[in-house]
Amino acid sequence: MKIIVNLDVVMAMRKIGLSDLAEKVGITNANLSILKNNKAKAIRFSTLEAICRELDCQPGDILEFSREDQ
Amino acid sequence: MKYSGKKSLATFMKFFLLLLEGAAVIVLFGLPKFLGFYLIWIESIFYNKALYYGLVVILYITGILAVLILDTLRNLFSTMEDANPFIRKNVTALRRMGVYAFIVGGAYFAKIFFLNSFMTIIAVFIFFIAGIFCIVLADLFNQAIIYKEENDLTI
Repeated sequence: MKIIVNLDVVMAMRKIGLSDLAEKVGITNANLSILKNNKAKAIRFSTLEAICRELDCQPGDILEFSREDQ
Repeated sequence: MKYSGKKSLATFMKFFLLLLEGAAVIVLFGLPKFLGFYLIWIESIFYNKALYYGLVVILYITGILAVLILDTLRNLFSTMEDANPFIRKNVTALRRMGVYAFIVGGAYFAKIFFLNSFMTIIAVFIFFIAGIFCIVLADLFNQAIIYKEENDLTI
């Protein structure tokens, strides 16, 4: 069971690059990359809020729960 | 006073330990001579060949391990100087230092049986306590690394 981050999908739909989003959200490229590549262990509400605001989406669009172990 | 980072106490300790390490290596090279002079100088009433060679063996074991401890400690201070001490390498280094300290303690414990002195007994206690301290500190570092990783991967 794990939480999958679908940030890359939403970013592709909004046609926004990693560095652009990182700058708008106020986090480093490296940290956004960790989040995008599913390497993160947790996400702060403040970060999630900023990402949702910039991408104009809901947390559920970015995060997905999967029962299958990967 | 700065404890870690550039130009801090860690930097001073790094160079101080290097100095000690150098001195220890020089003493180790000349140990048989130095010990001979020392035993004659203190006019040891126990001075005989068996005692001399026994002491040389114990002092070589403890001396080499002391140099290894100093070297490991210097590497530890070097990571403190880089302001990044919480790395897995330091956990293994601390564990290794603990083992070295136990072996030194064991060597001095063996010395009690053929050339006892009050300082030897104190050295045994100091090294056993230092060994336990290092192993406990290694575990603390391990937990700190887990927290740090958790924190670093929280975006």
